[in-house]
Amino acid sequence: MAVIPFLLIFIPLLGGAVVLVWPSDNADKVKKISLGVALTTLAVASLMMGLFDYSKSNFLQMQWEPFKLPMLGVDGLSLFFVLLTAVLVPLGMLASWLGIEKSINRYYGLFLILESLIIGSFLAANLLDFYIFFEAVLVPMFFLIGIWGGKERIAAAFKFFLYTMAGSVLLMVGVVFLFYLIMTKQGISEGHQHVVFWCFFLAFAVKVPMWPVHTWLPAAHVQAPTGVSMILAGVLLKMGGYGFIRFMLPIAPIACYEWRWLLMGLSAVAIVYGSLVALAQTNMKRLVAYSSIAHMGVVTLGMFSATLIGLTGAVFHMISHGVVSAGLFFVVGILYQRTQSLDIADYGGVAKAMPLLAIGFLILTCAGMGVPGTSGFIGELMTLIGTYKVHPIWAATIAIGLVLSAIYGLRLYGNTMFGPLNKNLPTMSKLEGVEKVVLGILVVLTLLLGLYPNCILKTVEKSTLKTHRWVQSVKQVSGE
Amino acid sequence: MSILPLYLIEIILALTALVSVGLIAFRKPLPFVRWFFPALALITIALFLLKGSSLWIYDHFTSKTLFKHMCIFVILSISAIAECARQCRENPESFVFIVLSVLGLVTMVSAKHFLTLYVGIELATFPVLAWIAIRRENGLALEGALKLFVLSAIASGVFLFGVALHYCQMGSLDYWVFLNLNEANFMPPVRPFLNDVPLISRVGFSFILVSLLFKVGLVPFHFWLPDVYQGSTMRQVAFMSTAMKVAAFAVLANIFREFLMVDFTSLALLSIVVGFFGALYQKNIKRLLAYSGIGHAGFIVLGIDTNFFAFGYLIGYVFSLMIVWQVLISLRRESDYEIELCSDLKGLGKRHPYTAAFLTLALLSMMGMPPLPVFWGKLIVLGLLVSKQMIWLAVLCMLMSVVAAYYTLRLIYYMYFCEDEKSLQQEDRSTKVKIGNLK
Repeated sequence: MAVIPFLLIFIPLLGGAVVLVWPSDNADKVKKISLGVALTTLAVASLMMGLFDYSKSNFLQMQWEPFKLPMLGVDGLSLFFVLLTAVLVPLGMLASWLGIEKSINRYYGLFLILESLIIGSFLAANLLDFYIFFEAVLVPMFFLIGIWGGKERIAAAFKFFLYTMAGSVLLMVGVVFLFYLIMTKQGISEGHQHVVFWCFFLAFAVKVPMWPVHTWLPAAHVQAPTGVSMILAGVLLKMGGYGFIRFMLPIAPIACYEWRWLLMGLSAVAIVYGSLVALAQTNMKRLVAYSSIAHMGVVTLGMFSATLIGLTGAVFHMISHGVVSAGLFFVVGILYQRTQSLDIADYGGVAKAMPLLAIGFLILTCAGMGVPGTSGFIGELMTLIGTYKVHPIWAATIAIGLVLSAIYGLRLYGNTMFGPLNKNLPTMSKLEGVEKVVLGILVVLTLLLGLYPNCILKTVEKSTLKTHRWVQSVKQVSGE
Repeated sequence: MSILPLYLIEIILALTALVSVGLIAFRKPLPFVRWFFPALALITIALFLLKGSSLWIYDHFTSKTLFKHMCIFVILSISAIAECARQCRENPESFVFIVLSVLGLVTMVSAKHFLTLYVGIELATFPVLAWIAIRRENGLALEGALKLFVLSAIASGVFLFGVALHYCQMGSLDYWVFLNLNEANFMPPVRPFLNDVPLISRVGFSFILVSLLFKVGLVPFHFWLPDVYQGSTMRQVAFMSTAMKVAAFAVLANIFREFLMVDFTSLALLSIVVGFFGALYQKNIKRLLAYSGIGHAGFIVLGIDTNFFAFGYLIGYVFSLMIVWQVLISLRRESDYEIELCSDLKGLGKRHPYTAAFLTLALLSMMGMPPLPVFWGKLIVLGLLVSKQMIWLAVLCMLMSVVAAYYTLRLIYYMYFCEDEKSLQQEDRSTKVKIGNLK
């Protein structure tokens, strides 16, 4: 049992190392091996899901403790993030199946190493572990964007690395400070909480990204290749949200409560600002990237409302957005691969040429707009209820975001899929088998989460209940 | 006989230097060049394991403790690596220079008396000086050698003047004398602050400190580093920036961990800022690494108060740096010159993937990327700062390491993201063997 978390990190890491040194002349074999490794990881992750004891999902299970040090473990919160990663990585690989031609062995090797590090940061059972994985993720991502990206890939890669590193070095200060407090057996007093709060907040806010520190995201997304964009939007951003809910809220609840106006305010700004900027975009990838900022604003708003339903909804929305945004980036990638253009104005009437794509794209767009029946609806609704309990004005911003998301979502969909077929477009070939599989899986996951959300919610709720109680006790202390 | 093991390393070094000079004079080849330093490093370990306790004996001028043994071991193994790196064996004089300089470094490390220290410093510096100046036809080399000569002569003068003043007041040049200050007041021997030392001695010691900081390359005394590095060959820089730095830091640690307390914080912070910002836009790779060394010196000095662990940062940094030099030495441009500019690394990732991967790992380690060696050192330095309640300083230092990330990434950018225009040659002979030696 305890070996499963270890395997989840070790298999992709080893596989990645093997693929990296594999001779690059046999591209097909490299692809197959790395897909095999990713699928093995997925199988192990499913095994973990099978062996997981759902009645105790608020406890750390399957702990891997070399030398009596808790290093890795899984609970109801991290389980689904690990699964999300394990599902999205093979899909991201399949999405790169046709698009990537330059030094394939390195691409897939780095991809697997990236998977290992991301899973590691979700499975980490102590802060130092978490920090190591959290920061090391930057390195493969830097290479993936910088080598295989678009025209301005280098500036984007540098921006991504330096921005997120500037955040995460503060996390390191916070971790060391906490360690010092524990070693000297001081409690974490209110003053200390503020120090920890600011260190953690800045680190995770850059990763999420929250409003004033979001500028690396559009650049990175536009330049990254499709498969990398899927992982970036699908999982990497969630590491920030996971950090908030796993570390910041429980460790510094008083400081979080006192700064709640700031946290919720920034999230509200992110929702409205992200949606408005998305409205103005002509570049499809940029549009999806800004909509990601808006959606992550919804997540953080629900999270910092600190109500049970808000917290649970935030976690659900993160997972749902992981699937949906990966799907949207994949669709954009399919279009880009056929036309080499990301400009919305270049498209039109694609639905006639690619009906299957149009169906999948419609469902994913609906999920982005929060239409009932798709996974987006559940997350938006729960965060809406959760934030309404704090103050209606916060719920109003989510509502505004919903309206705006319908506008930019439908505009994107209508302008690309409907209308007369744009004469300048090259002939749009039908979906390849690989593309059908990826799109199909993502659409099915979106619908599954939308129609049967309890498959996640019940388990997550037990974990978030703990955080919620913790924060609730602070509220009572401060006399509310 | 009981004193023989204590000085065995020094004796071997001195004898080897003499024998080599003799052999060179009669134009004979030096047979022991390859295995000399690795063997000596092994002997150091063996000595410590066999005679462990008896080696803790102090005589009047030197002492050897676990810490000093480790420093000696590191210096020797670094020299071993530097020796492996030699591409051309046409000038065997350089071997003599290294041996003599290492003898000086070992003396520096094991000194516990300011005069021994002085002898060590001079012995360590002069051979390197000659070694740099040996390329007579090269203007930059002569400039570098001259700068190093003038500045280290001044530093030595300052040192001796400080020693004289110090002696005036205290009547002894043993490091131990600082502890006697408190004993006179019937206090337990705790290391005093520099401010508690009597005035004249304090002034004298400040002079000594200045010359030591000059060796380390801490900020107000750092100007010689980039110029001297630029004028030297890669091998010389590799030796100066690693082995000599280790010895200099070991001297600082010897004095400031046990005998005296000085607050280095402001100087360290200044060095971190100047070093890392200075490295940002350097075109010449030696200058870049010189500035980054200034910045890292700041980190190491910050951590000098933590007993054993600043040493961890130093070792991690020095070995990462050694790998970097090693790879750079193994690279050749088409005209068989050493590479000079950062942009000479263009396309390395495609041509020599393994070499490039090693270089990248070493650079990332120097940047403090977890879980590579320097990260752990940084963690401990950070822990020290936090435990002294200097959170802002910790934040500032860490933000500076983001600046360090920028120039590191720039090197990686040249290696992997740039298509190569100039063909970068690598000596096909034995590169893999050399990297194998590093493990």
